[in-house]
Amino acid sequence: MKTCRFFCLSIITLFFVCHSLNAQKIMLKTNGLEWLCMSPNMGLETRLSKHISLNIEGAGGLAKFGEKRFHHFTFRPEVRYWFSGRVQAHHFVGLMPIGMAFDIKLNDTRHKGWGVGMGATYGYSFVLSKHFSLEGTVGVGVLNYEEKKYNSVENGEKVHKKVTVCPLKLGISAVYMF
Amino acid sequence: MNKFLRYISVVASLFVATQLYAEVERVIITVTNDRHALLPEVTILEVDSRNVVGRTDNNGVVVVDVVLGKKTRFWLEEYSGFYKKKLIELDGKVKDFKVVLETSKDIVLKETVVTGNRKAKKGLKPRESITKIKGDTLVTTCAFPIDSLMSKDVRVIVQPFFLDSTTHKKYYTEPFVLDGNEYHTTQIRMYDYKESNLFNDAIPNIVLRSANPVYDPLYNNIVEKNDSLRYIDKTKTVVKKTKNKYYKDSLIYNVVERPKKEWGVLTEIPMKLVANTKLRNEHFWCAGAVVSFEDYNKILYTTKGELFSIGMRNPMRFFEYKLKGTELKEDTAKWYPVPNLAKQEKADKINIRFAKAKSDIDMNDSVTVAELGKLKASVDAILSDEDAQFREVTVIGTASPEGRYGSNLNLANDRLATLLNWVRGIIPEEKRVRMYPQKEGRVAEWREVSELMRKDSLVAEADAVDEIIAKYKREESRGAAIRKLAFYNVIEEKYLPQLRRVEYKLGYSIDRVLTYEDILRRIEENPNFVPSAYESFVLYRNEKDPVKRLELCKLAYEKHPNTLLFANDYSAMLISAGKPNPKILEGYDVERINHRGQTPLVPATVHINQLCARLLTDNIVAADTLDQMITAREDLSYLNNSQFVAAHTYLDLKQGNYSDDNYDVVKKTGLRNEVVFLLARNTDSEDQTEDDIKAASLCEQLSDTSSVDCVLKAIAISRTKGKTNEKVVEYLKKAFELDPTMEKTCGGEADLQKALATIRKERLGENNVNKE
Repeated sequence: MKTCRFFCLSIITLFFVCHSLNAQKIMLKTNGLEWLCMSPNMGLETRLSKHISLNIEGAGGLAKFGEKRFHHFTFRPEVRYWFSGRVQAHHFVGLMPIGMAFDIKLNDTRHKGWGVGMGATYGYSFVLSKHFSLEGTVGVGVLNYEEKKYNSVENGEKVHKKVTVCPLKLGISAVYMF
Repeated sequence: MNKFLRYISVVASLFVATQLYAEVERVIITVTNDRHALLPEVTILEVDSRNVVGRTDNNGVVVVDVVLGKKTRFWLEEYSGFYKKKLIELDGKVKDFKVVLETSKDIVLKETVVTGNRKAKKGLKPRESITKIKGDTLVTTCAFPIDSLMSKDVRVIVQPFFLDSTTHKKYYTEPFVLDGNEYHTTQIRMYDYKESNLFNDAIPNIVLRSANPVYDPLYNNIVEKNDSLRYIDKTKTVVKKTKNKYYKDSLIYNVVERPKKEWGVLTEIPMKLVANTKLRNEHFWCAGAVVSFEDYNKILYTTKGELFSIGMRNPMRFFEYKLKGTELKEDTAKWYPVPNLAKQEKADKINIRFAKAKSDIDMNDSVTVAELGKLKASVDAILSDEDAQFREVTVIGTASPEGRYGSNLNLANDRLATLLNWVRGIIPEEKRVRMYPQKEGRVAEWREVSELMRKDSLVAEADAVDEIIAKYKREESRGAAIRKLAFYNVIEEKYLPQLRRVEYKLGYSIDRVLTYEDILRRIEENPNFVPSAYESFVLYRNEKDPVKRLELCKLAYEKHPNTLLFANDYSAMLISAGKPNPKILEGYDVERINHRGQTPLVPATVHINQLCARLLTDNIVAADTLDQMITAREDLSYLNNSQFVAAHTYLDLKQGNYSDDNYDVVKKTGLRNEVVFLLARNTDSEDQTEDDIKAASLCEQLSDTSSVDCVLKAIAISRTKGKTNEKVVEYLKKAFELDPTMEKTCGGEADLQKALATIRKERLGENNVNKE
C-alpha cells in the first residue's frame, strides 16, 4: 500500500510539473484495451525533437474476482521516431524496454514473479484536434521472466524461468496534449 | 517490487527535473540596416540544426533561445535579397544582440529549382493577369489552381514577385500560405500557438514570439480556412464579409471557385510593390510567382516561377496634370507682414573750408559754397517726401594736426557746431522735431600726413616725417620738429588742407507705408538696399513678369524662410511654373501653427498648395494624408475651390479611382486627358469595354502630329481591334518618328507589347538585309 501511495504521488507530482513546462511537449495518455482488461494505466510522452519522443507508460492491477486474482505492475519506457517530423501525427516506430512484476492466480495455480524484456513497436497516430490524438500501437520483443508456480492441489512450488519471443504491447490509446 | 517502484519514480522525477533546469537564455536580436532602419522579415536560421528559429517582426526584433555558454551560430537572411546574409554566433551571455545587415549590391537572385516527387494532375499554370498602378504602387493579382495537390497534410506556399526586366531585378512580395487542416493543427501543436490569440490583434507578435521563441516563419502569412469555410488572415480581423469575398484592410481574398468541398481553387492573391516614378514609368515590369506544395518533411511540387503578367497597363503616364498654385489671399491681417515705417540713412563726405584758427564757414570760398550746395540738395531730396521726418544728423569733423592738440580739438568741435547750426537752418522746424544732432570732432595725426606723401611718391620726405614721428611721442613735439623741415611749406599747402574735412550722415524716416514705387526708388538709389519682409512682399506681389516675380519671391522666402506667406507664395509660383517642391511647405501640413503668439488654423490654401506639390512629385501617400486632413477641416468653403477639386480628383486617379464624378472633372481638362482617363479605367479586363470603345472614337479627334496622341490611338486600337492590328504598329511608328524617346516611355505598356515586338522584328530584318 505504501508503495502504491509513493507511486501515485510521483505520478501526480509529474503531472503538475508537466503543467509548468512548455506546453505541447507533454502528452498524457491511456490505453483503452488495458482498461478492458481491468488494468488501470497511464502514460506520459514528451517531445525531444521534431522526430524523437520519449514515452513512459505504466499499468497496474489489483483486480480480484472470487478466487481469481490479477495483481500486476508493468513499466514500459519507449523511444519513438516519428516519420512525419511531428510528434503524435502519422507513423512511428519505437524501441521499448519492459519491466513487470505479477502475482496472478488462475484456477488452482498462482504465478508470482517478474520479467524484463526488450521490443520494437510500430504505431500510427490520428490527429483529432489541437489537444487530442488517437494512437494505435503494437509491439513485439523478447521477454525474460521468472516465476514461482504454486499449485494448491499438488501443494507444491516450482520455479520457472524462460526467455521467449512474444507480443509486448497492444494498445489503442487516447492522447491528450497539454 | 517496492524497490522497483521507487526506482521508477525516482527516474521519472529526475527526467522531469532535467527538463526543468535546462540552462537556456533568451536573447533578443534587433536587426537594422546600415542606415539604422529596423528590418522586418529577416529569417533566423540555426546553422547546425538547419532549423528556422524565428523571423524579425515589424520592429526588427526576434527572440531566440540559446543554451548558455554554448556557442550557437545563426544565419540572418532578409527575404527580399536586398541585404547580404550574415552569420552570427550567440552564447547566451549577451542578452540584447544588435545586428546590422549590409546592402547587397552584388547578389544576383537565382531561382531555386526543386524537383518534386509528385506530379500535378492539372498543370499549375497561373492565370494571366494585368499589372496596373494605384498611387505609387504596382498592383496585380496572382491566381493558381491548387486543388489537384491539396490535401489535409499539405501546405501551399505561393511566393509572388515582380520582375523589373529593365534591371533584371526581382522584388518579392509577401508570401501567401495555405495550410491543410491537419497540417495546421500539427503546426499549432509544434509551435505552441495559443488558439485564443490567433485572431487577436491586441496581442502584438512580439508577445507571442517571446513566449514561443521557436515559431513558424510563415506564421503571419497563413490564410486559414476554418470550419465555417471562411478565409481569415490570422493577423487581422475580418472587417466585412460579402458573398465569397472577405475584405481585410485593402487586401481582398476572393474565392474564385470551389470545385472541391474541402479545398477550393486558391484565391486570388493581391500583390503590391511601391515604386518611385522612374521605376513605374520607365521600367518594364512583369509579375510571376513560385508555388510550392510541401508536406511535413518534403517539397512535393514546385513551379519554376512562371510569369503571369507581362508589361503594365498605365495609360496615366500620358495624363497631363493641370494644376496651378494659389498665392495666399485669405486672412490678410493675420498672415501678411506688418507694414514698417521706413528708416533711411544718407551719408556723404563734403569738403568745407574754414578760415585758419576760426570756426566760421568761409562763404567766400567757391569750393565750400559748392559743397554746402551738395549737402542742401541731399536735405531737399529728403524733404521732397511729405512724410519724411529727420531722426538724426551726425557730422564728423577732422582738424589738421599743426598747433596744439587741445586747441585743435576744440576748434574742430566748434566748426562742427557751426555746420550743425547751418544744417538746422535749412531744415524746417516741423521736420526736425524728433531730430537728434550729433557731432564727433577729431584731430588728424602726423602719420596721416606721411601716408599722403608716400601716396604721392614723396618717399624721402615721408621717411623724414616718419623719422620724426618715431623720435617724438607727443603730437605737439612732432609738429614742432616737422615745421623745421625744408619742405614744410609743401605739407602746409598741399597735405594739411586735405586732412581738414567734414563727413555727415543724415538719418530720416518716412512715417507711412512705402509704396511699390518708393521701394523701387530706394533700390535704385541704393543697390545694397535690403527690403524688409513687408517691402519684399510688396515688391513681388506688384511684379507683373512671372519670372521676375518668382525670383523676388524666392529672395523673400530665402530671407524669411519661416514666414508662412512667403513659403506658400513661393511654393504656389513653383507649382504654376511646373517645378513643384514639396519641401517648401513641409512643416505646414498640420492643423495649427504658432504664429505671433497664437495658434491659428493653417490656411486651406497652404494645404491645397502642398497637396498639389506632393501630387505632382508623385508623393502619393503623403498627398493622401494631406487630402484627408483638408476634407476634415473645420472650414469647408474651399471644398468648391477649383484647385482643390482638381487636386482631389487627380489624387483619386493616381489611386486608381476612376469614378464618373472624376470623369466629369477630367473631361473639362481636355480631350487627351479624357481619352487617357477612359483607357485607364479598364485596367482589369483583357476584353474591350465601353470605355475602350468610347476612347477609340474620341481618339479620332486627336491630332496625328503629337507623339503622345499617336500612342494613345495605338493603345485604343489595340484594345478594340486587336493587339496585332496594322494600325497599332503604324501609329506607334509615327509616334517614334515624332519623338524617338517615346519608345522608351511606352516600352512597358502592356497593350503595346505585341506591336512593339513586331516593330523590333522588322528593324532586325532590315538590319540583316543591310548587312547582306
